[in-house]
Amino acid sequence: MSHRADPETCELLGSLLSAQRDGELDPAEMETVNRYLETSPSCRQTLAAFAQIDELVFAVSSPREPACEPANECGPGGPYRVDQSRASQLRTKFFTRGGSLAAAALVLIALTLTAIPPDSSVTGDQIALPLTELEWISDEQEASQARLLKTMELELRALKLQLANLDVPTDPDADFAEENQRIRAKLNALIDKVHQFTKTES
Amino acid sequence: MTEPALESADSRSLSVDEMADLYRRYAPQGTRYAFSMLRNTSDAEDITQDAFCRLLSTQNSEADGNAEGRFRRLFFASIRNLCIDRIRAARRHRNISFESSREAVANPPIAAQRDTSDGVTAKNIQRIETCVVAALEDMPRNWSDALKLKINGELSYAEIANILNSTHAQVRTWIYRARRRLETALDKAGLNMVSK
Repeated sequence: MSHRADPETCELLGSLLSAQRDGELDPAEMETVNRYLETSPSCRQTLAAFAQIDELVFAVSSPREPACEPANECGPGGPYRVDQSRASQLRTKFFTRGGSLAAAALVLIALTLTAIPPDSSVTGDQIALPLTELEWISDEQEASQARLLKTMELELRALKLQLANLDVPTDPDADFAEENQRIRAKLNALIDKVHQFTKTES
Repeated sequence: MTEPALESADSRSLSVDEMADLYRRYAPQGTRYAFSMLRNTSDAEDITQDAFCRLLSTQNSEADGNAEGRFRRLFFASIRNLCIDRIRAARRHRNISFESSREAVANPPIAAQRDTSDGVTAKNIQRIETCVVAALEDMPRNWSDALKLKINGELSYAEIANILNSTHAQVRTWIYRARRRLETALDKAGLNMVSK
């Protein structure tokens, strides 16, 4: 086989080489391409170039995990710090610790959003935002959530005090007393859980 | 559900559990494909899940062909349509190209994912990915779509042709041209690592 027009021949075979890489040739085409590949350095280079390009396209198409936002609050490396192992580690850490914790946190959110007085220092947004994206938790977010949970613990304690100071009628309704007791028990359980979490964090 | 069971599930509707299994199998590829179109991680994840939700309501209306093949085709077609809708909607409100390029520049995937203390190498890697992203955006959409579906979705030419409403031969040409365009772009930037 002549190699004088090797690059030109490879240019003509480019479409077949591309399809060969994708395993999309019929047997006759495959035979032709393989014959050229055995003898033509240019064709082998073309195939290698296609392989390199595919790797690059694959690489630039890999989603990244947000580590900190906004951009001006981040250190070197921009608003996203890509550290897959760390992100994975954090997720594992959070969810292994947090199967029940996450559930408790969600209950806390619901409870606090409905129970805290309007002039509370903790707003609904402050509570809901960090916990809507539990899976993408970073160091900063984790510390922020620990502080948040600590605040929530204090809020719940305040709520418990308020509950205790309720102006209970002299002849209390049996249902009311029972409800009061039930809420108090639930609050105690939640405070314990949050306290355990914040204790572990500190 | 095992793969042989799925393969034998021809011309019948999939159960929700079976579809969930397929979703778990193809979600990473789907997310990668969506990310390659949107350049935004959370949007890509949202779109992939939305596509699955769409399939839950449409899958049963079709009963032709292999069940898994049908799922793949509809799944990636849904992702593509949703991505195009998202891009159009975003362009109506703001200049998505600016946002995308800002994220692409601020968030270099390859450079960041490689642990290198060599600043020069990291800089080159960043240049390469910027060059690849720009070349993919500059070429005709069908070319880049076909290549992305092939590389990220690992679909066959026939499946890609179905999604892009084209033919097997056309898809072969598009993918070849996309690769050539990328090769040329890397050559021009002096970044082609395969010696000529």
